[in-house]
Amino acid sequence: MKTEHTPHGSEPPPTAQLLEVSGLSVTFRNGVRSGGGPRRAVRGVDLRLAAGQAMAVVGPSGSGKSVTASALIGLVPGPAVVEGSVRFDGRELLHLSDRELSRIRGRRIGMVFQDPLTALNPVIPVGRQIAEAVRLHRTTTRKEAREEAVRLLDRVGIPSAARRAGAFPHEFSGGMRQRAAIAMAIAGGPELLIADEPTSALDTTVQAQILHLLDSLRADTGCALLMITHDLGVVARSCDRIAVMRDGALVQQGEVARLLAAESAPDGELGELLTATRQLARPRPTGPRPLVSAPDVLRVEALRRDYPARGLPGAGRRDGVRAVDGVSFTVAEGRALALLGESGSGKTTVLREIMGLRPPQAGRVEVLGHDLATLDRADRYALRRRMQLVFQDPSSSLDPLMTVADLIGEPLALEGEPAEARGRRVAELLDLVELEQAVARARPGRLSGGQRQRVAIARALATRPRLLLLDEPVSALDAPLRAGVMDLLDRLRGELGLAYVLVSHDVHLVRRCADDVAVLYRGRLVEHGPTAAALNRPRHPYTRALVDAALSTDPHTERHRRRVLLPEDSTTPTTGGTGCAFRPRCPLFTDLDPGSRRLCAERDPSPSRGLHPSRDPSPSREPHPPRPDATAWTAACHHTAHSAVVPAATAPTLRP
Amino acid sequence: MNTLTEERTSAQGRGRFRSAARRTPGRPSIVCGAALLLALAGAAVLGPLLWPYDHVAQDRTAMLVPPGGEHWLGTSRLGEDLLAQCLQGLRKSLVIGLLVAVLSTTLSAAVGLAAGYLGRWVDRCLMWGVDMLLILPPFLVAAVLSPLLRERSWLYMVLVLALFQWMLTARVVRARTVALRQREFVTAAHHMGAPTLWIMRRHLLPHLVPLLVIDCTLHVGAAILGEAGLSYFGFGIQPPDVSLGTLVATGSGSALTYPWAFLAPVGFLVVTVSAVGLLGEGLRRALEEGRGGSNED
Repeated sequence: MKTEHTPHGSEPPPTAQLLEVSGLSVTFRNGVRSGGGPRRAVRGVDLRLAAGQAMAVVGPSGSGKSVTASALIGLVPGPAVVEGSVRFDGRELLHLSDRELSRIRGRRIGMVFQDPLTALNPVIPVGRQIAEAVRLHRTTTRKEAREEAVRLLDRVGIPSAARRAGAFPHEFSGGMRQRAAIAMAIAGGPELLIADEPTSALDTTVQAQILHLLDSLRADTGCALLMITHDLGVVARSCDRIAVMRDGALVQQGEVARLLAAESAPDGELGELLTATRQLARPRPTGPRPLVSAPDVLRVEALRRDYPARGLPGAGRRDGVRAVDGVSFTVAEGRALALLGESGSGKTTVLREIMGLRPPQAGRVEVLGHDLATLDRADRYALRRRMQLVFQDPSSSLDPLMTVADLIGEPLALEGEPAEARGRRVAELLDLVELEQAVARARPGRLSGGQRQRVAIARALATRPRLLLLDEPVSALDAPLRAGVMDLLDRLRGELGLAYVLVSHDVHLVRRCADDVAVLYRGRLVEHGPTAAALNRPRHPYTRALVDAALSTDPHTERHRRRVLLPEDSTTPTTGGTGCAFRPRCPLFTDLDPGSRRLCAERDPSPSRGLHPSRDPSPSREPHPPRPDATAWTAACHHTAHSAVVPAATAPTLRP
Repeated sequence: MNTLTEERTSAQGRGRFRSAARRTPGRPSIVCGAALLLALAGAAVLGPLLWPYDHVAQDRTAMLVPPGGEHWLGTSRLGEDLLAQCLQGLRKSLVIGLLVAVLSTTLSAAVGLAAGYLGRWVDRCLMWGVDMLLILPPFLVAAVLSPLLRERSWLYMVLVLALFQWMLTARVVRARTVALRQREFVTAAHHMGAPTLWIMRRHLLPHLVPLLVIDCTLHVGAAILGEAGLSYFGFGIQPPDVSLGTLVATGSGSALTYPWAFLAPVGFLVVTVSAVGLLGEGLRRALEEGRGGSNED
C-alpha cells in the first residue's frame, strides 16, 4: 500500500500524492472570541498523503490539528484567513468557490466527526439522511438511493440494516451512530476520508470496533485516511504515517512503524508524548503497597440503585433501569481500588451513592465505620470532611470567578476557619501538590489543565480527609500531563495514608494506579480482585475484552494482535431481566453448548472464585501472589474456567 | 474544534467582569448615558441649594413668564419657578426610580435563586406567583390602591411599583440558576458540605451580578416612567410634593397656550429616561461581548 521506499522515508515521488498541503496557515481575524487581535491557529503546515495511505495528525489540545483538517476542506469555523496551498489529486482547493468545493467535499473527500450525535440530524431517520447524502453525490432515484443507504448501513456493520434505516439517531447507541456517520461519509465513494477524533467519545470496546471498520473500509476501497487524534494507541493500530503538531506548526513527521516501534525513542514533541503514554501504560514502578492489616475505610455491601424507567422502550411498567445491582467491595486504609467499566456500567452511580452519604436504596454502605443508613445530620457533616471528591474536569469543577486561594480555602472557610489560618493551610497545600505560591492569586482560567487538576486535588485535601473519591481524575487532560497528576496522587496516597476509590474506563491507568480493581458491567460486579492478577489474567470474558481493547503504542503488537471484537448491545438494563447481563455480547457464550447456554440465560452468575483452576494461580505466572489479607479474586461468570484457560491480551498472541 | 473551546474557556476564566469592565469605558453609549445621568443627579441634588428660587414659592409679580431672564425656564400659572420645580421633581423621580430598581432587583434575585436552585415545590409555588403577578395589570391595581395610599407616604408607591417590576428578571435569574446548578462547581460545593445559602451567595450570585446590574439600571428608567404615569393621573405623588409626573400633569393643561410649563418637565423626563436606557443598553452589549457570544451561564 505504501509508495515510498526512499532511504529516509520522508520524500516520496511527488506524482503519487493524493493530498499535498504546503505552507498552510490559518489566521483567525480580529474577533472578540480570540480576545482581540488576530490569532494564528495554523502556521505553515506541509503535509503529503499518498493514495490509500493512512496518516495521523496528533498533538495536544489547542495545537491546531482540528483547524488544519477543516481548512483542507474549506470549513474553517469563524472568520479566518487561510493561506498556502492545498492540492487534492493535483487540483488546488484553497481558492475554489464554495460551490466547486462542495462538489469535492463529500464526493471525493469524506468527513467523520468526533461526536456523531451532533453530526446527525436528530429529527430525520438515519436511513434517509444517508440516502440524502447518496443523492447529493449521484443522480439516482429516491428508491435507489434508499436501497443504497441500506447497503451502506450494512457495509458499516449495522445489524438488520433494512429495519434500522428507519430509526432515528437517538435510537442508536454511540457506536452505531458513529457507524452511521461513517456510512454517510463513504456514500460518495471518497478517495480520502478525514476523521476528526472519530473514537474519542466512544468506549474502548466500541473504539476497537470502529477502528476495525475503518481498517476494513480502507482495505476494500483503497481510500486514504487522515485521522486527527490525541491517542497514540489509535495511531499505532491503524495509521502508516504520523504528523505531530504543536502551537499550530507541524514539528515532526514520519513512519509510524519506525517512530513508534517499541525500541525507538524519538525526540521532540513526539518523544514527550510517547514517553508520557508509555509511562502511563507501564505498571507502577513501586509495586503494590505492603499490606499491614489496615482498617477498612469504606465498605460497600450488595449496593443497589434503580432509576424509574418511564417511557423507555422494552421496559415493563414495574421495571426500573438497573444502574447498580449487588455491588460489594471494601477499601482499606492506604489502598486504592479502581472501579473499571465503560459508560453505563454504573461506576459513577456507585461513586455518587457513596458521596451522597444518604441511606442506600438497598444494601449497606459503611464509610469510616459509619453506616450510611443510620447517619444523622451532624455525623453526615462530620463525615463530609473526611471524604472528598475529585472531579473529572477541573475546568468545570472549579468556579471560574474565584481565585485559587479562595477555591482551596473554601472547605476550610465552610468550617469557620479564620482567614489567617486558612492562608497558611492554602500555602501548605500548594506546596503539597507541587504548585508555586504565586498560583494562589490566579483564577482557574489562567492555569493549564494539569495545574487546575492539582488545585482541585489541593482543595480535596484541605480538610485532611482519609478517603478520596477520584472520578476519572486525568481523562480530561492531555497525555503528557496525565502521568504527572497520577504520580502526584500516588505520592500523596503514600505520604498521607489516604485510601482511593478511582473511577476509570482506562485499563492502563487502573493497572498503574490501583491495588485492587472492581470491573463493572451494567451495574453488576463482574470481576473483583488484585489489579495485577485480574488484569493480567482476567477470568471474566468482559474484563478480557476490556483489556484486549486497550491499545498499546507499539505498532508491531497492535497490528499482529488477535482481537476479540464484542458486538454491541444497545438495550437498557432493566430490573426485569434474568440471567447473565453480558450474555448478548459474550464471545464465550457463542462457543458454548446449548446446556451451558441455558445456565447463562436463566441464572444470574454470582461472584465466585472460579470452578477450577484453584483460586491461587501458579506463582510463576502471578507476579504478586495474593496474601492472606489481600482482596479475594472473584469473577461473576458461570464459565470462568473457560475464560481463565485463554491467555489474556497483555502478552498478545502473534499471528503465525 | 479543541482549540476553540480551549480558548473560550480560558477567556471566560479570566473573568467576564474584567473583560467587560475593560471594554466599558470605551463604549459611547455607556459614557454618554453615565455622564448625562451624573449631570442630572448632580443638578437634582445640588440645584435646589444653589438656585435662588424655592419650588413652592409663588411670585405673584411673575406669573406665566416665558423662559429666559430671571427664570431660566419660565414660571407657572401660580408664579412658581419652573426650573426649581423641575429640579425638585427630578430629585423625587430619581429617588423613586433608584429605590424601586434596587427593591425589585433584590426581590427578583432572591425569588429567582430560590426557585432555580431549590426547584421542586418551591420553584412551582414561586413561579406560579410570578405568573399571577404578570397577569394583573399593574396600572389598574395601582389606581385601585391609590385611595389607600393617598394619605400615606410616597414610599408606599415605591413598594407598589417595585411589586410589579421584578417578575421578568426573576424568570431570567431562575433560568440562569437552573443552568448554573448543573455546572460541576456547584455540585462540588454541595459535596463539600456547603449549605444552600453559602452556595447561593458564593457560587451562584457572582455569576448573576452582571445580569442584575443591567436589569437594575433598566428598572430605574421603567420606575421613573411608571411613577410619572401614576402621578399624571393623580394616583401617585400628592401635592405639595412634586415629581416630574405631577409637573407634567399640571403643565399639560396649558400645553398649547403656555407650552414651557409643559415642555420643561417633559424634557427632563425624556432626557433622564434616555440616559438610563443608554447606560443599561451599553452595559448589556458590553457584557454580551464579554461572554463571547456563548450561551454559557
